[in-house]
Amino acid sequence: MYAGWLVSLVLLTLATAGFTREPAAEIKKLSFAHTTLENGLEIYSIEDHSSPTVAVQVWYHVGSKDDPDHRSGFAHLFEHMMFKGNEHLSPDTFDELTENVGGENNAFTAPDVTVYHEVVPSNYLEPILWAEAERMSALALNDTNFKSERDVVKEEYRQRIAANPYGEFSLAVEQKSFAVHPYKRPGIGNIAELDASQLPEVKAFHSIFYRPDNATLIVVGDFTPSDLERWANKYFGAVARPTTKIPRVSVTEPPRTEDKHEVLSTTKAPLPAFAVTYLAPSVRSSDEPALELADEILSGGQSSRLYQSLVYEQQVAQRASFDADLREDLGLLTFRVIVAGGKSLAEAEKALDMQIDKVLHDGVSQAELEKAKNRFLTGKLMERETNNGKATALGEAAVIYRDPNHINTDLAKLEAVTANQVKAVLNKFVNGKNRVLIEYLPDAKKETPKSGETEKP
Amino acid sequence: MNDAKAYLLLPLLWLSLAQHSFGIGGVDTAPPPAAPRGFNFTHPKEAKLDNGLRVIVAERLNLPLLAVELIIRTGSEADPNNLAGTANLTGSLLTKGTEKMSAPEIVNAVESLGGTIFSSGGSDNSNAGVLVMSSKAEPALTILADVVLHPAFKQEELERLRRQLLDGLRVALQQPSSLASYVVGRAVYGDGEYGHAAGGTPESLPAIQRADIVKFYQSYYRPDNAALIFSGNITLEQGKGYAQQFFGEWKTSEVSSHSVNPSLANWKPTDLVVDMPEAGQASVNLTKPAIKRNSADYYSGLVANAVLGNGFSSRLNREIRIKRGLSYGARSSLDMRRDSGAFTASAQTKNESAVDVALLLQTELKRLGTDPVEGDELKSREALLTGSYSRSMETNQGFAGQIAGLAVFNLPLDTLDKFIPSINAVTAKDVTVFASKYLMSPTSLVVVGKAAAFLEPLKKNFPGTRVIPQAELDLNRADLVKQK
Repeated sequence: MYAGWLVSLVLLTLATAGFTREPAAEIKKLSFAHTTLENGLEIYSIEDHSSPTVAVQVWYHVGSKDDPDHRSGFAHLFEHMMFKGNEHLSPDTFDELTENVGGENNAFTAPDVTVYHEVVPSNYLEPILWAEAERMSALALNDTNFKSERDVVKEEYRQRIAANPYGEFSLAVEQKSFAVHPYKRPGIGNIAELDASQLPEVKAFHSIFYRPDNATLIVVGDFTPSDLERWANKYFGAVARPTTKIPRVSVTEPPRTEDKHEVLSTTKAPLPAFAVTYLAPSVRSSDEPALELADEILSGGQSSRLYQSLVYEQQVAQRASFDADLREDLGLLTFRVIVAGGKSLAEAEKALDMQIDKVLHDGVSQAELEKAKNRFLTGKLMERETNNGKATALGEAAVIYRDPNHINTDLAKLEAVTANQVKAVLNKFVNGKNRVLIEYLPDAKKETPKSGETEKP
Repeated sequence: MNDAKAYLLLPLLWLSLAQHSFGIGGVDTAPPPAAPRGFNFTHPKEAKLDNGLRVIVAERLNLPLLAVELIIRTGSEADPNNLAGTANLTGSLLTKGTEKMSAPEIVNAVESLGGTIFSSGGSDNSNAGVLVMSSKAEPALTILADVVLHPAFKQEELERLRRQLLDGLRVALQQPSSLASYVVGRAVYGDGEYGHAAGGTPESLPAIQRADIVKFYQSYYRPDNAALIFSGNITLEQGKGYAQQFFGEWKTSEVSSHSVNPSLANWKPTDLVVDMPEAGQASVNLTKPAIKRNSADYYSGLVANAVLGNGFSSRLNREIRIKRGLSYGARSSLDMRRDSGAFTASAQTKNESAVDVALLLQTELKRLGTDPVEGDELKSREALLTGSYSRSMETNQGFAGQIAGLAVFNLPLDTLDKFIPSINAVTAKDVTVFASKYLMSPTSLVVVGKAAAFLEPLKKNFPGTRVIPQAELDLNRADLVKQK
């Protein structure tokens, strides 16, 4: 029952300032500032002087689901082009203002968002804000740097997919699980559609989506609020807000009407794999906290149900996981298994089905629930160790959950979930629902004997 | 309906945006930085128990978290002949059962506290540890001490772990870059003690007996060959108290320690291709033995390596990725060990461009010895190293890891303070001297990929290259070829 009083203690702490019997149980509320510029840019910040660094993130509300038709992978290719400069930014500027002075920078493209993030020594806050505002304002690219960077992205595709024995499998899970929603198209794209992309499309994509009223700036760390306000106004305030409407994906994924069974063969993977997926609600659904707990109980850590049953006890799986992959429009509940050497696909599928049936029928125990809540609490504390961790949580709260205060309320929401609710939410989305089964089978001819039977030289 | 098509029809908008001729905020170039602030971090303190166990505590009281890591200063270099993977199995089996608790009980107990427990064996060290909320220190340490002091090494758990590792290896050996890392080990260390795979091979893992593991454990898991590191919400007094309470009964055995005896004096470069017909990309590597962790050239080496291949704007990444689009990333590394470790420069590229990449790696390596590092380039690589060092100290786990990196090699704790000034003191000349001294002599080329796509041009540039079909590769032998 530890976690039971834990969160109420947190709430009490907030109300009565410092009533703590066990300091470790205290998670301090993060107090953040929020402002909206006239051009629509949302700015959230947390001042924290414990290290002389500052984390800066710009979240754009555009992701792989917004890839143009026949241009899978475009939002991600575009993300790479955001580093290539404009009239005032050279392709080296971001590295010069981050890595080369002791900071770091990178970006990622997710199905719903594209995020550009830096950690810099705090004396570099002003220049990095200027640079982020510059690339929000405009890009000036040429065919040479476009084609060269497109080649980089093709190498990224090859590294993640072609050279990875289970790369094709991971693409197939999304492709086969959604019927019509653009979530079915792989964010990494494919070589043909990357090759078909043209420079003018990059320019068009910027003007449509990269604008202040489609962006959220997060600043966390060693800064003075008056400086941030001044610089944000000076640099981001100068970025024009277009008058056009931002297009949004309006496709609705229909409910499934039948089970589907897809079989792929591979010459690269040594062990068979399979995935079972169900459609799930939006990340903003009220079912989200219970699904997060289900994810943790089924698949978080080595004491989780799937690891203990399939990997440890029955030894039918080399790896087994469950992922409540919730997104803006809808989500997927995905069970993934790589079958252990010497075991059959059928054995592993049967073992997984038994675990699914068991949790649907018997639910989860109070001990499992408490464990999951404790793990979230520790994870939350570890997220607070760095400015970047806090910035990512704040960005996710503001943009993905559309509730910045989510960073302070998420644990209480998880805490309120009962074992019965975890059982109910799994039944709601799995029991009697249509599943998609994706099997990924090694081509029998290619299997080379590589097991313990080989004699020592 | 997806309205994604519509926005391809709007390129005119971009023109209006791009015609800004003033910089943002009226500033055309980056505004200058303000005055820098220095990085301060906790100075770890230490104590010693009567049984010889070194206890190191980094007091970091800002969050109620605690990272605990116990390191053993012996790892895979001490694997018995032909039993690659013994240290790894020994380390990994600690958490798989003690005299009192089963494997599921151990992991369930720690995870119920909200924490994680881990143990493993790698080169030069083995380790075990927990990450928990500091309020859970006592129950977590009770379990950590039990797994370190009283492991059961049950036959059933050995068999289970062996099967899991073999399955994991089957997957890893189908990936060009991970297969290449095994081959690079042999290319650098031959049949020296670092030459075999720390994780074991498909042939060595089945040969390891429980008795080998028990012997390894008894020989090296001793308090005088260990250090217990705490980082987080804990004081030195508390850390000492916990160490005495939970590890005070640990006894030193009589067995002597292992000393590394690699045979690098006669090292010869050799160029190798492992032909992997299904490879979706080629992994291209240049490698050779370089320096020890306690080398006087340690800091020059880090800076020289950073100029060449650490970070996005390093020379290798600039030439291979940024200028030519040949790879998602090119890099180099200096793996510094108790004895001389490997220098490796590498990139993954489409099979057809493997030779271009090999030649670029070679050119840049040569240039490091001939083209002096200019002022800004030198400063930028030093900042990269000091910045990433500082960031690694932000988390308890990272801080404990930095301490562990010193404790493994018995380096003094004040080395932590010396890192930033020592890096900043490295000159352009030091970089050139380091490159000439350690990196200019011939290297070995290791390419793992689809040979049909690159072998012909490769042999023109690297005429002595040996080709080993994947099916004939034997990681247990220095020459890497299966005996018929």
